[in-house]
Amino acid sequence: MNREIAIAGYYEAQAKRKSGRDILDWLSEAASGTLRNAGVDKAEVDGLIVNAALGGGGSPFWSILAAEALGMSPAWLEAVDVGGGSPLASVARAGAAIKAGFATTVLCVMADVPTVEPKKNVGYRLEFEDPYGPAGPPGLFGMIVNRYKHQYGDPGEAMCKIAMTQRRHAELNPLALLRTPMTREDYFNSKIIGEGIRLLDCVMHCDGALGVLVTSGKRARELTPKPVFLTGYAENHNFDPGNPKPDVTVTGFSVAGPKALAQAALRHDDVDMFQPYDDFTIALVIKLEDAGFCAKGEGPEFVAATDLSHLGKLPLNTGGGQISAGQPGLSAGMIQVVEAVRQLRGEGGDRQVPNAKNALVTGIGYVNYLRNWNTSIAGVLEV
Amino acid sequence: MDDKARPLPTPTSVSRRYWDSVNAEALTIPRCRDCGAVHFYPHALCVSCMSPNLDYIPVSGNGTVYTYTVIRSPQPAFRGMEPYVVANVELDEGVRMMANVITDDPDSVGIGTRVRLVYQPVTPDQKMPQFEKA
Repeated sequence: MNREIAIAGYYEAQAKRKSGRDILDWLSEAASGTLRNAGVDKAEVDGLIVNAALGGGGSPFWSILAAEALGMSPAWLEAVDVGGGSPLASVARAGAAIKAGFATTVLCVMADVPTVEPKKNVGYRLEFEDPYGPAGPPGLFGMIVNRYKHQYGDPGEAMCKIAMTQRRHAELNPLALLRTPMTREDYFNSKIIGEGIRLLDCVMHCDGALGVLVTSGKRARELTPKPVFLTGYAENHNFDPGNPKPDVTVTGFSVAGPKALAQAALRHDDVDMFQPYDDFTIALVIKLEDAGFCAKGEGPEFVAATDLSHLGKLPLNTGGGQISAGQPGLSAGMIQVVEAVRQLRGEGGDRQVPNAKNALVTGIGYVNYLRNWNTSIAGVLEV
Repeated sequence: MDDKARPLPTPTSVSRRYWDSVNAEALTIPRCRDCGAVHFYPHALCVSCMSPNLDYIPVSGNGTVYTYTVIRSPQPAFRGMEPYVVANVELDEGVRMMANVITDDPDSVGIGTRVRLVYQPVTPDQKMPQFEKA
């Protein structure tokens, strides 16, 4: 990929639990905030992407309803429904629409209100999972942790370090919801949800909204001295579907991660920061391995040996990630995109990564039946 | 919907044949007539080759725990039942199923535990496949 597509502005609303606010209220805040940040007129924006949401966004008419609510008349409109991967996917889809000539300037605006209107399961889960009481994603991920432990040894210390590192970053992020310092004892004493997963391994749902403005590299350079370019991007959905006995410790990120880095012509040592979608701490251990930062099974050693702080060798989720910032439903993947853009523009405040030139960002969507997650998305953002 | 009511399986046009086999206490799993691949849960086509030609074959009921968790903090519908085991059981026929391993001693279940299929009535008309330690 070259520097044809760029992010020219961003916005992150202050997330809140049980906000009582309608999803269109959140969406509107993020839409106007993103345009204001980018310094573009509504008249210039001719494309709109929204995310399928857990709460409030379940309508089959969602994207057109959103356009109507925002008072927009876009030439190109889309709702993305790849779960938590939707926000990162929206940036690439906006880029594809711009390259195809369908639009010139696309507002990617993501919102969700899962604590106003809790989600309900659909599809096979109703028949083949829910009756067994797996306690939702924490139980499903607990099964992955226990298999990981069986094959490679206990990843608990690495999960603890990830949780603590991200919490320290959240302490430096005024928008994060969980900013109380976390000790090792806090982590290991936190309640076990399902064997393998503690409370402090999990995200907490909240309501929120975020946005980015995507345009051509040329236009972005006119709009801002710090355009952020999408230089690598790859998706993998429903990894290894025909295998009735898959290894649950391997994910589609083993395909998408190396592919995105290769597109950007980056080696692992070149990566200035890692902003991975974090629904559970174990997902980060697995993604470090699958992306090729270390071999399968060596994630815990890699985590132990690497300074993951914002001043370290591989800064990890420098805003606290979703686990400490709060997970505004299916808009949450935009937390990683926005944090990468903020850092690359040098607007990271107390948690600024020095001399950051690039970021590896990821998205995850859904957990498959007795496998790992479904959607794996990797993107490289560069200044 | 009452979130305190235990969720029950709701057979669809895809899964009815499977649930009928469960209710008859003779669980069957889909196998492709063209490529021979088995899969679970039941899909409307072979997830290996996309052929629509599926047979349903009987299983021995013997399996091994591939992985598991012990739920200690359940969702509302399961409160009071904890701790209980949710397992990913690999049947000897080569597919994996989610089920509970029903036991008074959840901590005695682990990866590699051999288990045996049982049928648990959940309504007068519906049974669910479950496992006990073999």
